[in-house]
Order: sequence, then C-alpha cells, then structure tokens
Amino acid sequence: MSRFEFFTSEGLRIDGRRSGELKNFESSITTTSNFANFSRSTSTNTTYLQMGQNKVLVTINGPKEPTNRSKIDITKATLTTTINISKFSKVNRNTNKSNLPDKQTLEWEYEITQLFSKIVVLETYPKSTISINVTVLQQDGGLLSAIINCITTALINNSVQIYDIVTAVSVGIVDQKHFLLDLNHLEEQFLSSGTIATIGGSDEVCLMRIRDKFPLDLIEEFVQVGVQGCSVLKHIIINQVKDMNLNKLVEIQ
Amino acid sequence: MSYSKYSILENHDGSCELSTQNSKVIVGISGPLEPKQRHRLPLQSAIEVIIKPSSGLGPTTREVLMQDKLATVLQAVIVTELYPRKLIQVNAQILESPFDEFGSMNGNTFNEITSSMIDLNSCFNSSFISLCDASIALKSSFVSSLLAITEENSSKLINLANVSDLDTLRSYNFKSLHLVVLEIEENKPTNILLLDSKGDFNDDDLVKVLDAAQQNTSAEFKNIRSLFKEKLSQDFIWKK
Amino acid sequence: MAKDLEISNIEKKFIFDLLASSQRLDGRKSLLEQRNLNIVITPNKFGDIYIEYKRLDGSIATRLHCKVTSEVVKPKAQRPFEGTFFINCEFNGLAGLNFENYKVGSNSDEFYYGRLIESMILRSNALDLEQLCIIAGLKVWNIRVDVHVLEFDGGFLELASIGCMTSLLHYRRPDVTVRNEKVTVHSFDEKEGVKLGVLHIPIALQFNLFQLKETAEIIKSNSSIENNELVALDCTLKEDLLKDGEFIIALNKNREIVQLNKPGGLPIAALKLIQFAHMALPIIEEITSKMLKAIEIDERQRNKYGHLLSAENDRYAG
Repeated sequence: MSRFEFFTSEGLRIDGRRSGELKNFESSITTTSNFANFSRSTSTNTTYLQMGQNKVLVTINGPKEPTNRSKIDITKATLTTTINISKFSKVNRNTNKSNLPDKQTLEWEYEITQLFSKIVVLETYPKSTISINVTVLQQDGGLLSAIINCITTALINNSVQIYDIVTAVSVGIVDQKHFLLDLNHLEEQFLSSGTIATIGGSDEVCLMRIRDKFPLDLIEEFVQVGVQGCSVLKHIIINQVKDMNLNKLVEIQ
Repeated sequence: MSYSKYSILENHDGSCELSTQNSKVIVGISGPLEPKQRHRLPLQSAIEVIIKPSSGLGPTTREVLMQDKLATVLQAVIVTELYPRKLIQVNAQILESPFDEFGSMNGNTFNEITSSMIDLNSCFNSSFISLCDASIALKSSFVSSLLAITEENSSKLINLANVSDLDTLRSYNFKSLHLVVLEIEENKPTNILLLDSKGDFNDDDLVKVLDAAQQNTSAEFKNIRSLFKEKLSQDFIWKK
Repeated sequence: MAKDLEISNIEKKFIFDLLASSQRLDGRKSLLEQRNLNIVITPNKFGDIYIEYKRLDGSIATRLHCKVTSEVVKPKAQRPFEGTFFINCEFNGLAGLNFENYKVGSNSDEFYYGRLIESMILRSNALDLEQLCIIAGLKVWNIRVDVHVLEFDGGFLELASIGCMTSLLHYRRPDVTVRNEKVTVHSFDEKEGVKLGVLHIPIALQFNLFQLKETAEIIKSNSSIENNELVALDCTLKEDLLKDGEFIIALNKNREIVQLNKPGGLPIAALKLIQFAHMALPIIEEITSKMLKAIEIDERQRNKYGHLLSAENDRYAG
C-alpha cells in the first residue's frame, strides 16, 4: 500500500511517536495581551495554536450587532465561520491563482458552523452574530482537528458561553490493524484516515468525518481510539487555558 | 404530434411536461405571487422566466435569449393588469434535447441554432398548457410551431417537432428555420405573436411558412382543446 | 435547504409528537421506514434516469432527473492520465417556490451534499478515471452528471447518490480509436458504446437526529445509557427542516465505508454511531440490488433480439 513503513515492529512511527501519542500541543493568546484586550472592549482577541506543525490563528468577532439587518434571529445568535488557508502554508505552493477558497475549505466552514451552533449557548446572545475567523499559517496532517481545537480555546478566551469543551483528533489506520492517533502530513497522505471530535472528553461524538475507503468492521476501534485521544486532549487544553489565564491575571495585577 | 402531461408538479399552481418527438421540457408556473421589492410593478404583474439547460450550469447566454423571447410573448398574452404588484414565475427545465449526445453539435453551424429553437418551441407550447393549468387570466391562446425549409426542396416544409431521431435531423440541409407563435381567437389563428426566422429566405418562403404554421396551429390547438376537455371533466366539483 | 420555509410552532410540536410516537407525516408507521424507491430508465438513451420516492398513496414525493453527458477535453496539468468527472446539482424554482433561482450559496446544504456525492465517487475510485484517458496529457473524457430536482419533499442525498450511480452504470460513451495521434470518435451506429469503469457502487444514507431534551441536559448526561434522541430515515422536507443533526454514511456492499460524515449538530454517543453504521449495510444492499435489477431489465429490453444475432453455439446446459 505504501512505500514507507508507517509503523515499525518496535511500535514507532516515522516521526518517532508511539501509535497513541499526540503531537506537541501548545496554545496561547497572542498579539498584545494587554488589559484592553482582556476586557473585551475591542472585539478582536487572537488565539494561536500549534499542534505539531499545524499553526492556526483564530479571532472571534462578537457577539456583536449584525451588519446585515436580515440576518437577525430574535431567539438566538447566528454563527458564521470563515477559514483562510494561506498559500504559503504547504510545502508545495498552491498554484491556484484565484483568492477564492477551495471546495474543501468551504466544506469545513459548513461543518464547523454546524458543529459550534450546538456547542455555543446561542440563546444567551439573541439578535447578535458571532463570527469565527480562522487563518492557517502552516499545515501538517489533521488540519481540521487543529482548527476545531483552536476555535474551542478561542471561544473560552473570548468568554463566549459554551456548553463544554470540544476536542478533535485525527486517526489513521495502518495495515488494517494499527491505529495511529493525530496524524502528520505524510501519514495523512498515504493512509485511510478520519477526524473525530467529541464534547467534554466524553464519548459523545459531535463531528466525525471519514473521506477514504475504510472497512466497516474496524469502525468500532477507530471510534474508540479517537474518543480516547479526545479525552486526553481535553485535559491538555484545560490546563493550558488555566495557565494562560493565570499569566494574564498576573499581568493585570 | 406532441404528448403532454399536466398538473404534475405539486409545488406549482400549474405545470406541464411536454414531449415532442425529439425533445422534452417540464414547465412549472406559479402566480400571482408576492414579489420581491425589485420585481414590483405598480400597475401590472411582473413576469419572471427561468429556463434551465438540460446539461451544465445555467441559464447561460443561450438560455437568457430564450427567456427573453418567452417573456415577451407571455407579457402580451397574460392579462397583467389583473394582478398589479404581483409576480408570475415561469420555471422551465429542459430534460431532453436532441443535441445532448456527444459530438452532435460539431460540423454544422446550424446545429446550435436548431437546438435552441427546438427547445424554445417546446417551452412555448408547454408554458401555454401550464398557464391554463395555473388558471392565470389570458387574453388569448397561442400555439408555437417550428418549421424548416431545406436546400434540396424549398417547396416542402418540415415540422421539426415531428422529426424523431437525431440522424434524420442532422441529415437535413437547412436553408432556413422559422419559429412562429400564433395567437388564437375564436378557434382561429389570427395574429403573429412572435416570428423568429434564421437563415436565408425570401418573402415567398415566408408566406408559405405562415400558411403551414396556420394549419399546424389549428391541428395542435384541437389537440390541446381535447386535452383540456379531459382535464375539466376530471377537475373541480363536477367530477363524478 | 429551503431557507424561507418556516414552520409554525404548533406544527413543529405536532411533527415532534408524531415522531416521538414513531409516526410520520406521510403515513409511514416507523421511523426507519423509507418511502418507495422507483427507478425509471429512459428507453433509447444512455444514462438518462428518473428516480423517485413515492408516498404510500402512490403520489410522487421527490423526483430527480439524472443525466450523464460526456465530452473530450484537455486533462488537468497535475493529472495527465486521468479523465475528469463533475456532478452538477442545484435546486431551482422548479423544486419549490422557496428555493432561490440564481444563488447557490457555498454554505447551503445542496452544495454540501453535492460535494459529498462527488467525493464519494472520486475519492473511493468508484469511477475509474484512468479508463477515460484517450491521449495522455492531450485528450481525456470529461464525464458530467446533471442532477435536476423536479419535485422535492426530502430525501435528496439518497436519491441523488442512487441516481448518479445508476446513471453512471447505465451510461455508455462513444468508442474512440487513436491512430497517429489522430482521434476518431465513433457514433453508436459505427461501434457499440463503451461502458464506464464503475468499480464498486457506493450509496449514501442519511440518518436524521431529533433531540428530545434541552441541549444542556444532553451534553451533561451519559447518553450511551439514556435515550436523548430520535433517529429517522428518509425525512420529508418539513421533518428535514426541524432536524437537529444528521449522520451520513456511504457504503458499498463489500462492507467498506466510503464516506462517513457527521457534520456537527447534536452530539451522539459513539456506540450509537457504530450501531447506525451496521444498520445501514442491509438497507444499502437492498438498494444496490434494486438498482442492478432495474438496469438488467432495461438491458434485456434493449437486447430483445440480441440472441438472434449471437454467434455463440448452444451449449449443453445440463
């Protein structure tokens, strides 16, 4: 199936991780972490996430009054997502001349909007919009999961009410038996893979996406590995958010 | 002869699926509707026509031209003063066109014109039946016919709706094509609502075409009348 | 889908109550019951198919027209050995007055579903693109499927995927011969058409989720034990507008998942997702056999006199 040996008999992957290990995960509130930003008087507050070689920036605009009157929903807020994948984010430059997003990105936008519409407590912000703007600076495997994780962190940092934390990981399969967690670029290219997102580290799946051929009988293990990865990730995110806010608190004082 | 089925779309007030020997069109008409602000005319109803091609994204320039021709005739026939500030929406989807097959367009410059005229001809007849089905007030009836004169025999006219297969259609060497939409009053074809002629022809040819179109119109209209007779006997409260 | 269509609160409640007592708006008695599938293949044409869902009373609920067309084009620079494939599906005013005529938003459901079917066929190699190559780098076939929605009352994804696969299976492209870099396309009179290389038949199925409790409650509870949601197959348009989430799975009968999508919406226990995936398999097997049967019947009618022309010797059938 592939020219590379993705999973050696010693249990190591090409980048030296074990099968169930996550990539390095680091998130931070970037730009100027000054008092003005913290008090949400300005609408932009950027969150930066590095998940392996994925580098993602998310800004959340809102809740604010919608510019377009027709978009007002009296009962709840409306959510919009835009994803901008920069052309220099890959090793091969994208030769596509137009500045329009490709179909894959549009699909992700749709899915992420659907996902967070159920996670954000939209009823608390009636007649307003919340727009999520994602910029991808550098991409590795499992970009969708990195985007979702970054949006979750950003929502927390912007004090937008959510029901619980959403975490996402990508899972791949080698030789129909070994499951690899949190794929890198090479693995994603050559293996059957999928993304799975759960809420609050439980086994409640809120997003799942497999785009390659995948044997039906292995789906159970796939979900199991994914759910485990998500619950590990949840603790990492919670710790990092706590640390970030502690730092901020120190700065303010 | 064409074959048509009416009232087939649930979501529209009137609809008709019309199939001739070589084409198939489905038309749905709804109205009078509440229009958007930009469609609102103070003293009469607006007419919106949308024609979708059988393959590919549309409406393209080809379809927009067809839309315009259809809209001008409908504007003349529908009693627009009766529905001020309202919209009448005509949706047509071309399902089968004789030139769908690969490579059928190539070679002859007339093919493109022929294909769009065949589609338009079916759209006209189909939208008339749909308009009646939708119970929209009409000033008069109309029937469209598509006639062709060939290079070989200029005295003989060919009714393109009756040509069954593509090969015969392509074997003709057309000199000119004429789309004639005739108004019908008191069961007789009277005024010309639209005359669209392409190709090389003289006034004698045109007179011949109009004669033939009158005959064809009378025959077609008899057909449509019997269709409505059947429809009325099944519709409404007097249904047994 | 239909953005402007709004359902009154009282009707919403009615539909929910119906669903909760496993009844449907159109008279079906179970949430997992699908409407009657009917495949009509236009005689004398290749790849021209009408596909419809019929209600219990025989009226047509949803009707799609799928049509395959082909042309010779220059291949993409990155993939000189492969033909190209497109699916074009859009709703227009014909399907209902609440559908916009000109705008196809990238955030619309039909865009998403159309993309899903396209990648279902492309990424799983259901259509062999390499077979569509005529001269590498210069000439390849471009196959496109147009899906026209003629009547619409829900069930778009299933019907569109069945329709696309049936029309691809049924379609024949003209044969070509290449001599000295010169390509001749033969009409069907000269040479029999060539079937497209369909390697396996994926079919999509959509599970619709309706939540029974408040969102907060569902997220906090342990849903693998508690029953938080209703699952329905083949929703009508009104049910579709009320749904809280969906789960889309495309399978083929070789027990392979071709696409699996749960695009956000209501969170659901992982165990249940796995159950759905297994539940889908027998349904898809049934649809596949229905499809193949429709094609076989059509083939037999076309080839009515085929046995007379056959040069094959009679064999002892034993």
